[in-house]
Amino acid sequence: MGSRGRPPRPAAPLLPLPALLPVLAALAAAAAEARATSEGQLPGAAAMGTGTPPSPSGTAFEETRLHVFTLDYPHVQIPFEITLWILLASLAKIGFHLYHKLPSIVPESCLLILVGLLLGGIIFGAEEKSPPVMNSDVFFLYLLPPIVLDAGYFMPTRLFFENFGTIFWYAVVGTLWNAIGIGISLYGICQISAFGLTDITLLQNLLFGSLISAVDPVAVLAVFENIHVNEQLYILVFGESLLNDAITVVLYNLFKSFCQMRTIKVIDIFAGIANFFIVGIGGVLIGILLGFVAAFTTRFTHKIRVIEPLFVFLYSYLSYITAEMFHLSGIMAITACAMTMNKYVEENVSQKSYTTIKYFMKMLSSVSETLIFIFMGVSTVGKNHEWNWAFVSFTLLFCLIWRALGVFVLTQIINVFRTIPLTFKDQFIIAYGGLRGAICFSLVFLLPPAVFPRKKLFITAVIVVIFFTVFIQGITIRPLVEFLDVKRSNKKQPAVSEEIYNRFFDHVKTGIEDVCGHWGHNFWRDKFKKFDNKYLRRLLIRENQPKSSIVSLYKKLEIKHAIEMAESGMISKVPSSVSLSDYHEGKIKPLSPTEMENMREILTKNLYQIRHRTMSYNRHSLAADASEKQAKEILIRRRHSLRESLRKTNSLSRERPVLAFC
Amino acid sequence: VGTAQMGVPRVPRGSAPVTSLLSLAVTSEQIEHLHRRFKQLSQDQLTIRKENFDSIPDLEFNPIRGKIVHAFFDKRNLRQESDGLADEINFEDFLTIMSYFRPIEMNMDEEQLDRFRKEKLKFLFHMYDSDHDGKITLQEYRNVVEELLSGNPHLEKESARSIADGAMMEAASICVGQMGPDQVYEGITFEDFLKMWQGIDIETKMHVRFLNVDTIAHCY
Repeated sequence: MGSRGRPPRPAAPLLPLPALLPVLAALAAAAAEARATSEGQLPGAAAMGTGTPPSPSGTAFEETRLHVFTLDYPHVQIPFEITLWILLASLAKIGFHLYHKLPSIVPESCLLILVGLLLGGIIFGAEEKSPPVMNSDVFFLYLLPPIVLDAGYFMPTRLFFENFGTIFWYAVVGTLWNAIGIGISLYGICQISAFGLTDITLLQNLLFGSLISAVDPVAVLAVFENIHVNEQLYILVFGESLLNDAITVVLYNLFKSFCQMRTIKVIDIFAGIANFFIVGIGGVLIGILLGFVAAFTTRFTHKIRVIEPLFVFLYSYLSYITAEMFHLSGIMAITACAMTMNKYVEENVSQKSYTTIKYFMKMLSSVSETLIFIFMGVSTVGKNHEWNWAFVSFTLLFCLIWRALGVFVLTQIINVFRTIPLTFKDQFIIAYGGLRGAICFSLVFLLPPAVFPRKKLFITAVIVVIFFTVFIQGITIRPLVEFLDVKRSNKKQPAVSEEIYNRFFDHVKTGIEDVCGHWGHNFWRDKFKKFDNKYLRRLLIRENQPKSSIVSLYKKLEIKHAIEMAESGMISKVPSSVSLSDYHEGKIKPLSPTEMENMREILTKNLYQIRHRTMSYNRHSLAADASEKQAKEILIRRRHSLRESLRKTNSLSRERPVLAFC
Repeated sequence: VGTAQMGVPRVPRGSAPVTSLLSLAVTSEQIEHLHRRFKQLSQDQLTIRKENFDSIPDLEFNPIRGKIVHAFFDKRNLRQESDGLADEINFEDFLTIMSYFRPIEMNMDEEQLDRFRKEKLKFLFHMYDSDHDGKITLQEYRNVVEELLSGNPHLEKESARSIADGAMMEAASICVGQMGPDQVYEGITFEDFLKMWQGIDIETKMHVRFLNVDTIAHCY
């Protein structure tokens, strides 16, 4: 058993993928067989919990000899299977990236679903029954939160709030439009008796519409992070996918209860509307509250740095499950918590804790995402399908049509209120980027079969829509983006001067707005900043020193600059007085080209780290921190040698305050 | 709604460019709103002086307050051929300054966009270049950075100067590239300035919405 379970090493790195398949097959078969044999054992054995295999007779009079080697699978079954699954997912990921062309053509989500399908097929073939369907509880409680947390923590808040109106508009009104549109048109189709669908009521159709119209954050993230559209577009689609959770939760529960109620009164509809507000706002409030508590907690953790990251995760997860407990929107809660926490926690925790948080979050979300897609593939294979050409194809058609129409109409309205109107290209990408994913998948599995006799039909339709959006739209969106020449994200490394310009610019805009007497974005942002500085930061941050981003970044630069200058010998061991006096007198003597190169490199490298600290929405890589550690090392060594040299030559005409800045 | 109804002197100073600018994008609604604001600021006079800007409470907290106010009276921004500072500005001048902040329009072609962008950047350039010599020198840059960081009491002047120096060096390397060991970098000219802002789409960022919102923020 053990030997078969050990995977054969792939012979050469040239053929990893085909070699991986038997590996995966072996793993899956091992898991399946293990379960099969364990199910064959008597329940008594598990209850006994000993290491000995049971005697089939059941009588305890027969003496069993001492067993030298025992196998007790049920004892470790659950953790073993979980580990196998996660291992499988990660190995699959390695496999994809070995072919470097592959992830650029086909998004990972597609490949993972394919792997899942394959596995599902193997398990189905081995056991002759449906493989484990992804348990909706597992999905909603364990797999979804890490992804949303990761996305919320690294969300570019400034851009998000600048576009908040538009995002909200798309999320709420757009989803409503889609849900009701799809529901009603499907109902119309169902009325045509030729298709054999007349037993599906209007309410069931509306429910189906509401669960299929939700744009899925997991799928959007998986596809958009590879194509690098400009941040504005990204934030619109992604923000919409996050915020529409509130509406989806409300509509789903509303229609589900309506289906089960006998009569529907007007009061129920009003209750539904009120429910929406409570779900949305309640979720956000819980998130913000716990975010503040988390920030406050980290104020006191400087003695126990090691568990600092734990607080971040615990509080955010707590916000999610608290919201779920009250049937509020968990996604909005965890997003709000992450966004609130981010600002203050970042300043309270040590650099190492910050790195740990970043990495761990990315790791968790990556694993979750992989598992979700694989499970989706696995759960597709099985006996819970009912195919009906009309229903399925019309569902797909209506999803696409209503999404396109919805985006178009809504954009015309919202463009009146936007300063930067959305072009047709933007609209197309927004409409095309409305991918469905695991959330609708899980929601459809949660439908109570008693109320929905045609549940299998719904499952089939949902699966077809998801596969279509993830595969077809996911694969073709990259060439489309290039074809339409959509503005891509600006990867330019910013510089000190740019930071200065941006600040200057913000103040100019705010000033002009004040002169106009106009309360614009900048006005509110300024007001919030003042409130923040006065109360929140004092409360939540440990040694509250008003930090200017320009200064903190420059301080780091100074250190590097000093190191490099010392290293390259421009200032020899003892700081040269001549060059420094010129420096302070106003004439800029340029450095030699290599020094300039070095300095520029340092400037850009460092600035990228600091400024883009929380803006990485790339799931698979983080900005390198290695240079920072190196620099610190160099600095320490340099300090030693400088001190040495100072002691030796105890005359020093002018001391450059290099050390003062360290 | 013609401007004649509002009692604004319609005599264009410097002729064609001003009116063409105004006719481009600032709608009559926006003009009305701005005119109301102008009357509030000027206390029903025909012109505004520097002192009138003191009555805006929120502007107090702005670190570069001086430069903003100065920009309103800078003759280069008012499209006059002369140089220096005006003592007072009328409504037309006010509108001219505001027109630098109008949003981009959908139907602009490449050339118009380019001119649009250059106008806005020129406005910003004038704010940096306080001595009107067409170059941003190290001293002026230092001045800007000091003002920007003036809101932070914990900061030493030394840091602000060093930051400005560092930024200036960066500018030198972008604009001039490799410099010989004896060259001295004089200052940032407007062309260099343009180069530095190349990556940033200023035309979309530099706008203020003059919506028909009732002026809620009152002056004292």
